[in-house]
Amino acid sequence: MTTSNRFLNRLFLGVVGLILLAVGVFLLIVALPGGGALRDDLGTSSRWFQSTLDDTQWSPWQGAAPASWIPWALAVLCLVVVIVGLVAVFAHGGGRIDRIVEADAPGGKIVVNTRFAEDAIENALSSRHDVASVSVSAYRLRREPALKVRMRLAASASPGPAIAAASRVVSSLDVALGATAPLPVLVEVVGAAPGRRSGSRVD
Amino acid sequence: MTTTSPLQAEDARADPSGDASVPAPVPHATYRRVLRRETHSSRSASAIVVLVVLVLVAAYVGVESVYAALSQRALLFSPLDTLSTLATAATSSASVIVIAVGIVTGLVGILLVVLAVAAGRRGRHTVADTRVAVVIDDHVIAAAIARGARTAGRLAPGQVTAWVSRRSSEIAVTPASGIPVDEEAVLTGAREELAETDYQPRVEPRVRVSQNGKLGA
Repeated sequence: MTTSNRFLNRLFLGVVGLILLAVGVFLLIVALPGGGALRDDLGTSSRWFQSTLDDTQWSPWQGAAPASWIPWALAVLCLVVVIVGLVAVFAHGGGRIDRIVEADAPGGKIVVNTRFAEDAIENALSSRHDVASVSVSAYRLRREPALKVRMRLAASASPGPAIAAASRVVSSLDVALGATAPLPVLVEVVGAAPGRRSGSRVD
Repeated sequence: MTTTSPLQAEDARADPSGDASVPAPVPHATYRRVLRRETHSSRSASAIVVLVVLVLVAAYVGVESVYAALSQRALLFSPLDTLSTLATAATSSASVIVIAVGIVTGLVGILLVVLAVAAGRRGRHTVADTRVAVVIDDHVIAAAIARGARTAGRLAPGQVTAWVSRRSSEIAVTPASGIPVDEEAVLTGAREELAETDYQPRVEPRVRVSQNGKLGA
């Protein structure tokens, strides 16, 4: 339910993967005995690069020893990559909010905190024997608030009745909030072993 | 004239057909999107790992570039020497190293492309409901099936193991020595447990009774 952009994640992985694949194939062809032509090109481009370095002499300040500006440009490029990369890392996750209702009423602004939905749903479900624990969080979904109810079932409990109960509790919450548009609610049913994603094997 | 229409629209939304206890349902598209996101991997973990590696490499190359730009000795390796080093290494006895690096780089590339393209299903089912969107971990379903099958077949807790995949479930039963397993009852128990909840996609149970019994099970 977070705001991470999944398409960008995949696009990024795909582009980096294709670049690495191309580099790997290039290294293989160059180093294997058959890669004569490409190997010659490598020598040519290496000599061309060295001469370009000599042609691009430049003094960053008065009296400085002249050197090529290409390493400076490379350093700036790397700095940009570092900054963009760090921003992209910290753009992941997020989207959690603490208000589920924000409405402008004639008497003023009405705000309902996420804690309210959390308390209401947790209290209503905690008396059930087949529910071990409940936690509720709110996210922004396409700029609208949405709830996520994480329900941990007791060992081997049948999920059907617990899901139906959660659905009823959410319907009651709709009435309590009196909202005109219902809140999107995701019920996530997880098992007794926390954090185990794969391995659906149970004795 | 025009000032009254927004008010009327407001009234219609607040009280649809006079029954306030039944609000309009959440749009179908919203839940479809939520459920798709919850049943498939976001690839955030892989993307973050690649990003961190990229940032570290870029930081190192950046520092080396500054050293090279100031005509200082490189810390380990000057990025300006990459092409010439490669040109000599590829033709000398060091070509084995170049080949090895090439193979590893290519394999990592293939892995990343697969991660980008593969569906990345998370081992979860969805359940149809009129009000909420539901996702359920497959091992929760497996636990419920195992319990249903066990009680229906009158078996001990250690005798039944269940797995759930996308469309099927396998129930492995280890019989107690000398006591035959009522396979039909086990299957019926599993079917009844599955019928109680509307899992999507549907799960079809299969029972497999082990050839070897267990003493005192």
